[in-house]
Amino acid sequence: MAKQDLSFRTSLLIGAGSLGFSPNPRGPVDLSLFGVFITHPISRRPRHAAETRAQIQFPGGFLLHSGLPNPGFHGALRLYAAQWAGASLPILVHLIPGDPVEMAGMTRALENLENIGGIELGLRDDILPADALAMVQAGLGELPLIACIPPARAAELGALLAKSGAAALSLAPARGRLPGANGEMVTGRLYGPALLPLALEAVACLVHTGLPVIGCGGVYTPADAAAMRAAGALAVGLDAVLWRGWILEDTQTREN
Amino acid sequence: MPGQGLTLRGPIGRGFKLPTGTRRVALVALGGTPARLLPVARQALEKNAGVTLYADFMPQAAALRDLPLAAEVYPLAYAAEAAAWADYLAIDAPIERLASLPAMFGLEKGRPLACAGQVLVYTPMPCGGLAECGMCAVRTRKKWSLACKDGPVFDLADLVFG
Repeated sequence: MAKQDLSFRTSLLIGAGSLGFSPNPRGPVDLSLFGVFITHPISRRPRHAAETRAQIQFPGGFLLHSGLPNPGFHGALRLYAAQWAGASLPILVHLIPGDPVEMAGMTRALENLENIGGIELGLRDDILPADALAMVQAGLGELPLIACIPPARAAELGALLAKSGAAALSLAPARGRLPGANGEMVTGRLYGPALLPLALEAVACLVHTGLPVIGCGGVYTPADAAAMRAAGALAVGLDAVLWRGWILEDTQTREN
Repeated sequence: MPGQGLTLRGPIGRGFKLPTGTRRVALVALGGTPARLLPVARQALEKNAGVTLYADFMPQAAALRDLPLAAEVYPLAYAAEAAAWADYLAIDAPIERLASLPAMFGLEKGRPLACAGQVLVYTPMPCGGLAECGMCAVRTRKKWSLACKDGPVFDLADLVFG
């Protein structure tokens, strides 16, 4: 069990990868609406952009294949730790470790930083159940740990991680596959309003674990956020809707 | 939908920067339209520089109607001459055509361009510079850069092709 509690000022969160590595107080998105900022996924070693990057539209959303480029854990600390410390809202650092040893090392290093509200552990779609459990256990320490689960495996991994020591569960972007410009198949993360029914179903699975659930995926309107809460989500993460630079009817999105 | 409100953000990133004292400007449009090069043409003509556009458009094409009359237009096939004639080269290239630039301008084996040159890398920017999503990543000599933040205009000499 983490020594720090997981708590959010409001139940609306900036989802992983939605607004970069650190909050921009001069950006177009009103940060005061949000309870926490979740960083872009960060790996132990630097990752370059995928050579075969693609953004492919489909009705109701789009597929994104970027390779999750990031400066690596130590590069991220060098670039962003001071910004995280001075941010107006707590930071959850989203980690994508290659193995439990990497997870443990990054977790320990984050415990020494200011204004880190917790860690979100990104679990791969194809992770073995035993490996998922080992990753979570390696990340347990001073900071609350949120296990970020692929929606397609919500029932299986949710049940497995219910007693793992994770402070909460969240949903990763769903993954999908579409033909690219040259007919080749491209796999990637899916965003857009069309993902809401899938995300609601996954939230409904996860609430049975008894752990707090952060619902993410397909939330584009205040009504979508309300549906997430009605499905049992304690908090709601926004993703690509933020790329508009504004939120629909944001005064209604704010909690009462 | 008619009547729907639009919210515009920007401009973001870096644009073309015409070097001081430039006398001959070559514009190379590889992106299907010269529109993104027109501000450079106007700026150069205001400074009494000669302007030539290399593009694959018919002279009567609608895409050319906003080009100042003082600018000359040549087919893209003659673009190789641009680097020899001009003292500043402004290129608009979709990211998938960057790899064709070394052959087009004789830059193979690391040979530098004979004049100053900049490239507007036209690439999808789904996050509009808000998330560092990496979709607009461009390989430069020192690092992977982002067109939304470090570009979309890059010095030709900084780009890594292929």
